[in-house]
Amino acid sequence: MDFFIINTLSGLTYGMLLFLMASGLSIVFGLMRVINLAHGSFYLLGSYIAYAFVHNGFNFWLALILATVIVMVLGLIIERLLISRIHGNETAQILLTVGLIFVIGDITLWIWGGNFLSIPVPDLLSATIQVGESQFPAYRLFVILMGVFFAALLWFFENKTHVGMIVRAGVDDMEMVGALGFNIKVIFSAVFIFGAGLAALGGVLGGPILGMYPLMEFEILINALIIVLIGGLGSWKGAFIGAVLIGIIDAFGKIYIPSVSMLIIFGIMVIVLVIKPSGLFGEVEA
Amino acid sequence: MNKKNIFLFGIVSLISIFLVACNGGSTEGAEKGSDSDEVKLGFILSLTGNFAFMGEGIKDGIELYFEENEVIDGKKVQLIFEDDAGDPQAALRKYEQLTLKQNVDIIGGGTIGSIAAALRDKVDAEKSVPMINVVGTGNTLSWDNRSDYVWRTSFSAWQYASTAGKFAAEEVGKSTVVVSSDYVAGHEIATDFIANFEEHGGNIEKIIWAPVGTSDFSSYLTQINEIKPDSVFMFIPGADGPRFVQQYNDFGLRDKYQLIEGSAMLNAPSTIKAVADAVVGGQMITNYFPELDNAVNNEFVEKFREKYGKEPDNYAVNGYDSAQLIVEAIKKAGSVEVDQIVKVLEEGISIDSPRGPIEIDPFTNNPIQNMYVIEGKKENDTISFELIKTYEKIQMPKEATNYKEY
Repeated sequence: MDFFIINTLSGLTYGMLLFLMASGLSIVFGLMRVINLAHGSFYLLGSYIAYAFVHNGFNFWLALILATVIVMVLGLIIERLLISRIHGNETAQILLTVGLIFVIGDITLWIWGGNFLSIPVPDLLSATIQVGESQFPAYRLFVILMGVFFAALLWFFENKTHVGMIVRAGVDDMEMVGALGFNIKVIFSAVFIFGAGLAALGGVLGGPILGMYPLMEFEILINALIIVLIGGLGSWKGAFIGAVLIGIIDAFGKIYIPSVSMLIIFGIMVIVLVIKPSGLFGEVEA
Repeated sequence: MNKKNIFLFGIVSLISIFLVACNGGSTEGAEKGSDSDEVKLGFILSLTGNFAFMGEGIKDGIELYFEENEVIDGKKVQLIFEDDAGDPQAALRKYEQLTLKQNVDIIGGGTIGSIAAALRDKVDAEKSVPMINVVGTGNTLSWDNRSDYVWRTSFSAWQYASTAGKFAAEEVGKSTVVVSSDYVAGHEIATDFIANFEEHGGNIEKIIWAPVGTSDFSSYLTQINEIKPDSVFMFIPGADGPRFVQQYNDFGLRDKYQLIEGSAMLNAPSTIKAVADAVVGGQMITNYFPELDNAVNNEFVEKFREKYGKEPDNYAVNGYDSAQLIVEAIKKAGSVEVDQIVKVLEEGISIDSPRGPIEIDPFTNNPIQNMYVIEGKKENDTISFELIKTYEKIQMPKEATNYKEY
């Protein structure tokens, strides 16, 4: 029994990290129709910057906040300076954001080197929780809670706030929202940096679990893209369900069918796309 | 184009660009023509990418040795380093460059097994330069694919794994779980480990093949917890290794089941930097560790610290010994002619390595050397490794052993 519980929790932990990453990707796409493939690089930057702070004596929580804020500022610069210039030009968006992956990847390689690095688990959460005869790290439980918290926050934001309403309207028809007198540019920027912040947060939270190393942005990005395709573009709910699904399948697939666990994930993606091409919760028509 | 297609196109373009990018590299110190007053040594190492930490260590070791041995028999040594970024194809291109354009006299390379194998085939076919295999630990390079032109200074998978299997069964306990990266070297190590573990009365409870690039090992860890073995033998090189060690600790397995590490990463400074206390109590099989107490090593460690401000690791010693072997061979042959060098190597050369005296075995082209079992300890906030057992003069069998392959 504890075997089952611990694997479920592990799957959820990984799923929540992917959720933080994928939700931003999905929302940005839904609203701006921008496929930001460099979203994984925000994750990478978040974890490396937090590492730098922790390594220089800052405590984990301060590093978490600072790294997230710094990445949001970088996100703003990238959005204003680069992405806003190529709205509507999808090929250019892909080329630009893929280019950014390599630029950011090489900068992190240059600064932090190619070795595996890891952020130490904060003292407050370094304990393990006894589940039957097994143990589960408290920190991972915290990551799950953070994931759930942000899902709730997104729900609240979308359904209960004025801004959320504008964003929801924007997903359906951005031009109309503009015509009603709202400043589209500001909304775009705000959503973009919010997405970048979520990815960075995922990166920092993932630091003590997955660590960081060159090219990890690709691993995360591929998983996030699969999640977004399963869950549906433009929907954080879809990203949440997709991420939990991938996390759980990854955890149990490794045990029961280790040689094909990755295949199942792709298999599910194919099935979902065949049955419902817009994804489970797709709000954007394919 | 519809949106989904663009997305998929994005994934495809991304992966292809990524593959192309992996083939990139840089050229250092290009200078044409061969000079008879010079000995040109070309090293093809993985200086960027996933295995950069290995390539960098090797380069450090080589440069340290040649700093003191700038001249061999009146000839000035010129070192050329090329980066293969962990890619065998790139390594072959660099080989062409070094042999055709730079006219190097001896090649060093093979940071990882696949590159060593690729270079070996090329060197063996062309027979124009001898190659010193700096790491590439594949057994086959000593057995079926042994080449007169390729000599290894590091160690073979068999040396590590057979010693680990014997140690685990005799000193730790009769039941174990093997966790190994699912690629060629992982299977080779597991094969040798399992055969020797069983030979000494042990029982393999489970073999877990972790795909390369596994980020979350928790599913495997819960399985180990179900089995409750005496020991866990891990062979997970690269960035996955420290992550496994960390999660092994996070899930509370460290104090329950003895961890035995088989890819010499547990005591690497980069591992300790990344996971700190998680290595304490872990045991590791190795042919070198910086705390080793002998005169050659004490001097080596001191010089290394002075030059680089850090502790040497296995790779640094492999690089250092490769350099040492090259110099010894050239001195003994009195020439850099490929046939002369090979002839000298076939007579068997001994060098005073920081890891203890080693002898290059002409039957397997692999060093005969001591194997050490060391354990992580923490005292006054510093982590160090302590010798717990020495296996002396481990020599590879002359032919492939008929093990069941895993």
